[in-house]
Amino acid sequence: MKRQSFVRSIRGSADTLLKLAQTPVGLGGLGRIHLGTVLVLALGVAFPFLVGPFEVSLMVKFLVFAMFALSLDLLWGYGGVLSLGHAGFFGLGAYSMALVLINFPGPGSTLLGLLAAVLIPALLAAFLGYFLFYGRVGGMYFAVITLVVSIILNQMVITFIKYTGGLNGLYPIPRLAVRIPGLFDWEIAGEKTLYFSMLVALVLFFVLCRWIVRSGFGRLIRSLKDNETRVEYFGYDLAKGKLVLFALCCGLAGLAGGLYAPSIGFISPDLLGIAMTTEVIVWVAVGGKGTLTGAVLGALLVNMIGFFLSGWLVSVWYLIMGAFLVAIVLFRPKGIMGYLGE
Amino acid sequence: MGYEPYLVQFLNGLSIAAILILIGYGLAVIFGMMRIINWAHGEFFMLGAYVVLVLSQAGGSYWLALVLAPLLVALVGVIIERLFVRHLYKELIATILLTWGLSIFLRQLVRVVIGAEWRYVGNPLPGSVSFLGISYPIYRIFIIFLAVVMMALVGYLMLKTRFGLYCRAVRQNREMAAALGVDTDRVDMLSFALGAALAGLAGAVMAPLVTIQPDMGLSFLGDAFLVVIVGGPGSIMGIVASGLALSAVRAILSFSIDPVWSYILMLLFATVIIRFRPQGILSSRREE
Repeated sequence: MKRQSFVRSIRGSADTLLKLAQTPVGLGGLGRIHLGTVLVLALGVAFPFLVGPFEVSLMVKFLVFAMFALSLDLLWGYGGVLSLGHAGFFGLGAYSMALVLINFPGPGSTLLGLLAAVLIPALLAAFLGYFLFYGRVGGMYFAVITLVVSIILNQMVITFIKYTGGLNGLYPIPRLAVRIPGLFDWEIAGEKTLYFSMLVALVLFFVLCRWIVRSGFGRLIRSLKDNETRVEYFGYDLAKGKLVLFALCCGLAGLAGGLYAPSIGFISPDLLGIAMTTEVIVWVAVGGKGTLTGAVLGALLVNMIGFFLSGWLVSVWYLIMGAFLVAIVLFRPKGIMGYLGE
Repeated sequence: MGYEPYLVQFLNGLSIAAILILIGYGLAVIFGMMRIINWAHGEFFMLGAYVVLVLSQAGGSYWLALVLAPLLVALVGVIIERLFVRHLYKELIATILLTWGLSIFLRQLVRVVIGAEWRYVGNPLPGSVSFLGISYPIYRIFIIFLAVVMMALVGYLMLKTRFGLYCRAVRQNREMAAALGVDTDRVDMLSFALGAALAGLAGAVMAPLVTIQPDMGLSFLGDAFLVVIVGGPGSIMGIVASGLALSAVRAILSFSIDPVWSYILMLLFATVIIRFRPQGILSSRREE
């Protein structure tokens, strides 16, 4: 009895907080934004002034991970297409970016690198998607093929030591820079600058994803998840929708990877590995798939908890993560956001 | 150069195919019956190898381990099926995530309990036999032989026994089978156990040939999944055919080019087959 009323009071206060957080705040001509969003952004801006430089550079990594998680949420949470090789595309983006930055220094290399980081994974995804979606390959076959693709990418990176550094990875990777010869030269270095650029990147990334979800295409992909047959009867090209979605999300994952390489300065084959894919799935599942906010929340939360726990529980952390995934699937399939939304 | 190197390569390919078919069989039994993709299947394989390792370190005989491994792994399979998988039938993505979580958990458990070091066990059948101008390791010939025997056994079980009849009935129409008095719950449990046992057996068989470490199941899982997909999960002969075909492609290619490239080309080959024959290479019609 007591426990129930306790839970209810927690639920009640969470409800009040949620309502409060959803209070709209006017932005002049730019539309409206929730009070909660304002608070979170304020916290994000204040963060580097509250903690030490080590925590700030750690948070840079987590912000990039949040973008990566968003790209999976769009694919899996909205489109219902589960890729078990998503890290392959993230890592492919990271390596494309790093190789461009290292081999083609000079003005425009950041732009060229980001372009490569988006296009190479997107094209690979489009190629695979053509064969798989038009072959009407179901969810599980698709999952397997994507897994094998990421294993192969991982093997390639390990094998082609000459370019990729093999198991040792690539280090150092030049920083992101905005350069216009003779006019402007700004290198994004120093943990606070990096932090703020990644924070801005994450916000833009989030806005982009939300725009996609709310567009006509977004409605189509959401309906794919609900009832594929009906979507087809309405005359939509199911395979094409999935193909575009998959290429788009892999391009976004590549973009996240492309930002990862220069901001962390070091990449290794682990980025394309199965463990990485597992982690991103856990982030999205924990946060709540199909909500976008959940993906960001999950990525930040799981990574922070992981950081604190792995201090003294290195080997147990993965044990917890596996058990966590099982528990979420069995008891809380909608994740944190689903729980809050109830 | 005579035919000898090709014959050796052919036999190597055959013994790899034998292992893939064994693992693929287990996957297909579980998938075909319950529509569940078992990501923890690679870990069943790994556990089978660890049974051999632990027993041989305790001074036990390899042949005893070879018998015990499938039984113990089947037990693990039954526990997992009863505790978790049973609650999620028909939810494809949920089962993928669930077994994926179990796979992480099992791998890490082995790492914590036994250790992450790379280990090896001795070959129980050292030496080679000479025939047709080549000399070939006895143990690899034993593997091929064992796989053929197991294929025959599983084929017999599925096609000639009452359990097999029930299995096929459940696969074709679960509700109707239940209405006719088949205990589908029990069939699910037993086929999960059978799948696990086959993976455990494959792990035990492979133990003397590979590095034993907690992640060993993953590399075999990818290949085995390809075998099942290309062969079509419903067809026993399809799996045999695709196991042979994929291993052949890989063995032929790795003869002349880098193994990574042969892996990539094998995947391409599989992808193209899936595109044009989604129900497996041998099936003539599309199901569903």
